[in-house]
Amino acid sequence: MKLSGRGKPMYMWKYWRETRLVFGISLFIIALLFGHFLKSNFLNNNLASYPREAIAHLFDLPTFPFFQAAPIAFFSWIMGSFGVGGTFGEIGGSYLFSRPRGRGYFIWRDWGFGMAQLSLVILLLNLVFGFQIHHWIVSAEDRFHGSLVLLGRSVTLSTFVCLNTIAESLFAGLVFGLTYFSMIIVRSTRGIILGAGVLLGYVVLNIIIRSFWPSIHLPSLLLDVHQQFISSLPLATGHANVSFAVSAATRFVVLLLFPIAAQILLQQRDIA
Amino acid sequence: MNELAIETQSVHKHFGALCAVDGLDLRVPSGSIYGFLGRNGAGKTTTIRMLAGLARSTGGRLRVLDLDPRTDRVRLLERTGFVIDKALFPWMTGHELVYFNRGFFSRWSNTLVDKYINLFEIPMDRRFKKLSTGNQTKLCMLLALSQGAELLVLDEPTAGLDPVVTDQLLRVLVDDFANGGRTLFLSSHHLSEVERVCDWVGIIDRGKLLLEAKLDDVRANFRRIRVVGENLTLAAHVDVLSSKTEGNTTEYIVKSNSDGFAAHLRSQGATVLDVSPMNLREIFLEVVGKGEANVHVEILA
Repeated sequence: MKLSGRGKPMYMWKYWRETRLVFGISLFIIALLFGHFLKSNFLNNNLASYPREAIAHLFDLPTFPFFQAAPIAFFSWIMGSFGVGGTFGEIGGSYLFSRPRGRGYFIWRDWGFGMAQLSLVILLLNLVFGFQIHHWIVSAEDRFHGSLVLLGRSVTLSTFVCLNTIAESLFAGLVFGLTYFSMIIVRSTRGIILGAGVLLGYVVLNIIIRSFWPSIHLPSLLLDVHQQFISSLPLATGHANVSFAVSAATRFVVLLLFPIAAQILLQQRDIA
Repeated sequence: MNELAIETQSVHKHFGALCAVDGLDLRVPSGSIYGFLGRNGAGKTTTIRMLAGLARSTGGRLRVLDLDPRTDRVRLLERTGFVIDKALFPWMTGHELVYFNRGFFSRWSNTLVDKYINLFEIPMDRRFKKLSTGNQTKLCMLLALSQGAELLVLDEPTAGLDPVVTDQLLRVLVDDFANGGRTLFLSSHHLSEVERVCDWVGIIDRGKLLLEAKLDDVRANFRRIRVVGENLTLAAHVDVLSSKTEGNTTEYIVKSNSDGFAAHLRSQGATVLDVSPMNLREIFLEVVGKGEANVHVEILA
């Protein structure tokens, strides 16, 4: 009997096959955006004569991640519908879960690969915007002295891009994990609606609470990295910002709760 | 090596108030072809799901290849092929399904894949959802047969198949798989197929195992006896499964010792019209059709 090697990442190949269209579309949109910036910067050269004051207000930089939140949320929401939850909706779980692997095997590969794809898209998106911001800085005849001024502090462009990527990846992981978990709870494609409903419900609840009880603050879905990081940045020492690290780490732990809960739920439940 | 490939003791499965499996005691000998028979909703699929570790029993003990499906699920699935829903990823082609599946099994055989692709004539470049029901079933079987399992558990493998495909599939299962000394456990309500290929049968109804025996023993022992006589007493004969009287003729179904029973009737002045053997279909209808109150689990072997 001819034997094949075992342990090959066939399951991740399946996940890749499911998600590659959405992933590819995301990369295509980013490529289009990059192309637009290139054309705008070097062919039209329209920023060379851009008024300096306008450049300063071109972007409200501290709220930059919030502008990207909607498309990232949508992308993450769609990505969360793949994997085990999607399989339940598609063919039930009998076939997949009669393969000789623990249920956690499938959950963590879905989650890990999905998060890697999301993080890559977000990194590329921020690099493209970083490229464009760099161009504005140069075009502004180094008005910012090679740095960005955010909330009254000087921050390098790479720090800015890095902070955005962290904040948006944590946000994407939240949407992705919640949708993924919802798909497993409902065990059908209706889980994607449940995931969106919970997110929208949280946003609405936040608005209501702010209106009626202004002193109560629910955590924002998107980590306000610039407020967290820059406003408490030690001017003299440059030591690491503890509150930012704690906030980011806390959010990362919350993200991990979704696949952990999904695994526990799946291990407790009968597979129909 | 354990003499039993599958063993369950007092297994229960409840879905709320519904008792799907009710104290199941199953003993499937290693190397046997075991037909697990029952009507729709009898508890066959629920039992198979528990054997695969997909569903948890409410109570009782299960062993498959001497492993507990609840705690040794991965090792069990490495050695056992399950075909339950016959639903694979609809967007994958046959080749992609093979590619996906083979990474899970250390004893996977590409030689067997090639053999069954040719034998079953499955269009492997076509997506699963585009295949006919027969080809979908054959592809599921191909995957299960190629994983190098010691035990195959198939839930209604021939459901929805035409006679030609059914015949082809059963021949492969018996000639290629079971003749190698491996165990084949298949649930069905197609009794003629079971009778053709199986050497053991278990009949389940309303979650209870009503009969478990070697098929040859069932055939040799179950008899239909028609007699003419009045005021016949049966007290000493517990092997009578059922009786039905029309006019002055009474028909008895006995599970064993038909000669002794016929002699007992003659001794009371009855005229025995005939003692006829029964096929599996007739036996199944008698066992299942009379309700659990009149029938008990009987190990004939």
